[in-house]
Amino acid sequence: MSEATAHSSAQPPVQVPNVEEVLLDELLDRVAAAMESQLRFVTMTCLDSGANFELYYHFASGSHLRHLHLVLPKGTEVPSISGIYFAAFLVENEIKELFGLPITGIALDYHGRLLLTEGGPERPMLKERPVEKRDV
Amino acid sequence: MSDRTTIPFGPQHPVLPEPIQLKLTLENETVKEAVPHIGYVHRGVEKAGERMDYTQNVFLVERICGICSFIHALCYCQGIERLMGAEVPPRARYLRVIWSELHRLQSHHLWLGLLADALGFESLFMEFWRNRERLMDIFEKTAGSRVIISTCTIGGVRRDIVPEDLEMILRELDALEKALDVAVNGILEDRTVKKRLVGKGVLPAGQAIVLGAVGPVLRASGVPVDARTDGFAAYGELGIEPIVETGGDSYARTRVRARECYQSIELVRKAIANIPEGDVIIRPRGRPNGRAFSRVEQPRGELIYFISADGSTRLDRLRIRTPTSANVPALVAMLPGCEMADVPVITLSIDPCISCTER
Repeated sequence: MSEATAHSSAQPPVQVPNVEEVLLDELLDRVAAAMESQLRFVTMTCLDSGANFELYYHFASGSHLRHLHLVLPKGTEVPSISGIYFAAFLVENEIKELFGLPITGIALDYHGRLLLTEGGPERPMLKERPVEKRDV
Repeated sequence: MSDRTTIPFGPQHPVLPEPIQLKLTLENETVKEAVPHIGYVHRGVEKAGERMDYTQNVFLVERICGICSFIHALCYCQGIERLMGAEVPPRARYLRVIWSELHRLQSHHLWLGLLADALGFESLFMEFWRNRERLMDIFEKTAGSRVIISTCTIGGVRRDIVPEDLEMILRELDALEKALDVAVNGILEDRTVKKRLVGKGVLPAGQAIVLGAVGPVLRASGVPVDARTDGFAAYGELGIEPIVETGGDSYARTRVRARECYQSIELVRKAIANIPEGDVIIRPRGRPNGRAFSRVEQPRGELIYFISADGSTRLDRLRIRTPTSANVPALVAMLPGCEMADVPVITLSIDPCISCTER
């Protein structure tokens, strides 16, 4: 086994390429433009960043990937993109349930019962109970 | 009064022993609408991935699915390696291809057998599964276990494959290829099988793209997308052309998987012929820091890991998008208009893995 010279945590963080920032009021237009360009909807990712939620909308054209990045304060409603890309309905339901992010107008809305059951944890992906960071 | 009937297909069904339900609305025998219900066995793996050490997550993610466990670990490790700036030794990259393609082969054999079983062709089912045993034995010999082989790790692979075992793999693949010729001919050329598959569950290319379909489902609709063409591991050096069919129906999806078996055999042969000497693992220094989007090709299609790390030992976010969850919207679009009797085979034609979906 050999040792590699690699990034230490002091080096600048690695970034995902081809990320475009998007504002809430232009989201649907940008997604509609992706549909017109025949981009394939890949998935969405939600991150809990404290006061904000971050949403990534991932698209692909062949093997080329593009990502829309939306940052919005917690409590802000987000329109569903499932009216444009029906395939988004599953992941939008998942984000709505697991993060409590209010996504409105989902084409097939499970009203909080896609993955979670009655009596189960609510919004379990939130970082309200932060994971302890170990410094090893 | 409406002539429509609602039938719950699953979560327990003889042809699909996996916990998913399709709520089917029928008019006589014709499906008008299908609504999928999942969540029966959701395990919260993404949350667990934030609570465990990033090195422990390798063991976590390879337990998402027993059929493609190595490829889950590969996708995760590639993402972490990108965040740590680690370059995997060339021999490890070739070994990753060998184990990945053997996984694809055994997964496609498993599915081809299940398809034969769903059609009532039991002898062919047993033939595919008997052939699959050769692959499971290869895993046992090279990794020490048959299902979760646990050989992929951050920085390379945990085990090397000695030259005698590489020879053994080649001998087994020669025998497997001969047996495959017979079995594949049985499923692709049989008149009854064709009647059950041709024209069933048609998904045109445009619809497949818009609905986010992946893997053999997408390629069977004529769209040449295969994440292996990105060139990760040693695929860039070995070269790969996506297997494409244009029918868009259940038969085309079967043909894609059958042809991919031969492609995987060729890739393993090429990898063994060109595998370089050297280390199989490096020990990356530092800790993952930043965000990475990792993509590989599972037997069922494109697998995505989005990893966010802040330089500590635990991840900020581990997002996993499995191929079956991407193919469910396509399945929902395939079913309206088909006969109730065809629902099991069409559902099976996307090769659903609920274990992956319920990560």
